[in-house]
Amino acid sequence: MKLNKLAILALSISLAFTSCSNDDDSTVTVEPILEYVNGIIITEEGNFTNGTGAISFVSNDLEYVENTVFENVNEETLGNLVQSMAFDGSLGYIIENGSNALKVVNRYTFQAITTISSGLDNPRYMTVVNGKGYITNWGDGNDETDDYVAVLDLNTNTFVSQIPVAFGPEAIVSLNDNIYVAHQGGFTQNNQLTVINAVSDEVITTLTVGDVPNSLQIDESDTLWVLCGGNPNHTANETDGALYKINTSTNTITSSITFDEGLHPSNLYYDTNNLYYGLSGDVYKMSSAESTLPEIAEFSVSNLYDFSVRGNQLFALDHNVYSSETSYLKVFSLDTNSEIKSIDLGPFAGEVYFNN
Amino acid sequence: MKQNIVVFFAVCYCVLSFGQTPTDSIQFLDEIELSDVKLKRNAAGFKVTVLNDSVLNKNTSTFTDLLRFNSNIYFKENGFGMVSSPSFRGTNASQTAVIWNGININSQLNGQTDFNTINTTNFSSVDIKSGGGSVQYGSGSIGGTVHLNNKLQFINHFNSTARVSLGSFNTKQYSLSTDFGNTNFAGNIGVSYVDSDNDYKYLDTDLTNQNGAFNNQNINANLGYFISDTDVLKLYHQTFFSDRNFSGTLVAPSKSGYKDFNYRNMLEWSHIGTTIQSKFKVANLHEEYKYFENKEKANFSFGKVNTLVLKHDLNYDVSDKIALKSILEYNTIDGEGGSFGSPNRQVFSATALLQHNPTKKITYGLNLRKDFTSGFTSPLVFSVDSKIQLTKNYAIKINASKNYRVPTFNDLFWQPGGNPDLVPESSYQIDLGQELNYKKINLKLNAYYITTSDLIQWRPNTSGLWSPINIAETEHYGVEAELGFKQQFKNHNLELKGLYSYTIAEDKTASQQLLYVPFHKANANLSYGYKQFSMYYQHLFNGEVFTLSRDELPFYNVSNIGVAYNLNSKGNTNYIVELKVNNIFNTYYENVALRPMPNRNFTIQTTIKF
Repeated sequence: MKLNKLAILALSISLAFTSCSNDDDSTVTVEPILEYVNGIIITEEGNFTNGTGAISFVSNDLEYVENTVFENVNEETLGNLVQSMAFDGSLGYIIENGSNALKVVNRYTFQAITTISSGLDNPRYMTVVNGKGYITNWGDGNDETDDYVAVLDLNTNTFVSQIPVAFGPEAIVSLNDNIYVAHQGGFTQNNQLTVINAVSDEVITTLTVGDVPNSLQIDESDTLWVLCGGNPNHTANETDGALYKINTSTNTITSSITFDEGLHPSNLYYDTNNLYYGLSGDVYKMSSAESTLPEIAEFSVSNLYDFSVRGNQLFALDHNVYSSETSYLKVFSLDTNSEIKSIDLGPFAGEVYFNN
Repeated sequence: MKQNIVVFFAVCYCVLSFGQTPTDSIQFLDEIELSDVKLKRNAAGFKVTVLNDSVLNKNTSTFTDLLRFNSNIYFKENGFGMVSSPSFRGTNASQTAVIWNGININSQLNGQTDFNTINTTNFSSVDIKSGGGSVQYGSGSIGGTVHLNNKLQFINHFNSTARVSLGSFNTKQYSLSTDFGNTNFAGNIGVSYVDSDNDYKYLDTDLTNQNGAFNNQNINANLGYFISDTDVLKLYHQTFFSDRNFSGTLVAPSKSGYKDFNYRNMLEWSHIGTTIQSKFKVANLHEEYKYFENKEKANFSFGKVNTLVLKHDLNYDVSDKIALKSILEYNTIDGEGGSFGSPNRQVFSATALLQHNPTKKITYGLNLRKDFTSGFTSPLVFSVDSKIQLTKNYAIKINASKNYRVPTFNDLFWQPGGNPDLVPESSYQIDLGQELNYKKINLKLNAYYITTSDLIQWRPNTSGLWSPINIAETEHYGVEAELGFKQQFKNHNLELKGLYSYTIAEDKTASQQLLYVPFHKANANLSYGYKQFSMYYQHLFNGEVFTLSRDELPFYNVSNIGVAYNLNSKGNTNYIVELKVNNIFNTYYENVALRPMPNRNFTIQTTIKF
């Protein structure tokens, strides 16, 4: 390339530039396999203002990788800022945060079924209970009074109710007829946990937990774990992170463990008796029976965004610090704590799901 | 953690401001008419392209439109009339400085000028200087500088112009200006207003450009007065208000709104001696924005900055071949915003310029500048340039420079993510130009190479938080060609101008063309006049660009046409009626991914000169 440069400088008078370098036709068109089973689904948010989100699929043996699955199958793109997915039977629900829409697909073929584009306002996450989908909505990220959980009848794909909730509803999980919503707090911070009854679609109770509850997990003994990041230090009021344990039969706080000052954990994940969380790019692991936090990280992922765990493998999403054009799925062995494989994904991969 | 994305989204929207400047011309009275003599006297080795008022008149609705059809600069426009950032020679939006009557007015918040927050109606001319200009114009002058000029004419005159234009998408433009003077006193005052629903249909879809309405108001007032035979006082003022909604995309609706409020004042005292000329300027610049996530609600985020500029230029003509110039400048900058507190910055800079004409045919300049900025160290920058007139028709222009861009208030202090440890971006470049003037033909050819290091980019850090770091290195090289042709025959006037640029802009580590930099861009303007009749045709070819995830946004061709007739050219009052058709071939194109640009649209314009 250096020669090319000099040549251009020297030859400015001869404008013989009829063709330009075409070296970027490396985008290989993948023939969709039309059967996205026994693998991992990754949602990718895409670019903020002028982009579209995407879905990637990686087979369980990590050998087959397909990016932009939805586009490959349907010949249309997904909407703006694909935030998350939820599943019900053979259906997948893709939340398009920037588009204020929900795409319904066949989760095994990714063929589009329908798009629901009204009734949502800054949608974040969804959980499914008794044939109904519950979707957290921020409304305006700075407005503390317009937040709600939208209730979608999954048979008719119509909204049947909007449940007004506290500011900034983010993560949502369900257990039997109880739905738990963590209020991380929109553009700012909150510290609430709402419990909704899925029969009456009404708020049963609201608990105050630590600041910035960012993730929820339910273990085999029906304990709800709430990871709170604490107020970050750029707020005038920095607070400590905390891990809360909630009794789901009484919907009360059982106990909580506080993190050291200045630590702001996120991305709680539960898998077979162990809790995993992320902290400044490191992954920590603790037994759910433990009452103290681990002091030593298992391993480090340079720009850890989110992860999921299955058996002895951890699937981490890593954002490329050098470029917004790609992100990575990094698969770690939990037996050896070493990286098994790194897979290139589209921009801003956000969530990992297992599709078996 | 996902929230960071959303916060970053808000950061992206922060701030745009801008301004304008002066420079130009050919006139004997330059010293008096221009407030930025440097562009003429200390830029011999640089390419300068002048857009005069007849060009400005063709693309009146946005500054972006004016420049994309009439310069080599490529624009990334977030939907018509929305936030628009330049890429000059493949550099980024913060690396083109906008200079208003000699003062750099890029935003202190994001380092850029949003080219849709400048209304050119009341400027005498717009000059485009290609290549590095940090020595004279400071931070951000890397790809080039765009100068907005107000000219004061110290001759007896009193002219006024009123203009009304109505167009598609309920677009209305009104302006009124008056220019007056005698040998001691001169002034011009202009007001203009633009308002558009901007709800054009997206071709081949059922969609329209939703939430795209905008309006802006602009006031320019400039006065000059000779207090003695050798001393002039000048006062420059500009106020700009704009109220825009931010349009949605093909896949995402929008409900946000954005308001800009900027004003700038400058008082200048020039002393014009035979060997010594001095100029003292005091300027106050104000930029302010309010971002409404939901325009229907009262909640907004805001930022504002006040800058006080004190500047002294001293020029000493040692002989008729050597001129020395010094510039001392002090800026104090006070910001305030919901997300970055109340930062303050002081900058003192000292510049020395030497201009030497050893022979009639050779001119060269040596220029040095050092900034002292509170908070961090700015590099010593330089530029050398030379013009060699090889023959009567042919000249070579060459320049080399080191330039820089300081981190902005957003980069340093934005919460969350601001990084107080940033250092300035620094950049070296070399530019070789040739100019050929032969009879009616004017040809300019330039080739350049730019290398920039410590580029500041916002990236996710280990906590998933977006934070700016000095991370990237880029290099840019390419060629530009500019061809002008003028022919007069009896009552026929024909003028043709064509521009072409070939740009390679690569990230050094990836060796890939940067996103949103076209390899090829070309435009052509053809004007024809016959007695009271005139017409023009404009064409823009914009090559394909890469978007995020390296998708290709296809190339496009867009054409505009206009015809005008002067109903009363003989009397003191002229009525000119004009019909303009933009995008005559009704081409579907996206300038930025997922944001279709306007389909064919019409404007009827009436101008009364009296």
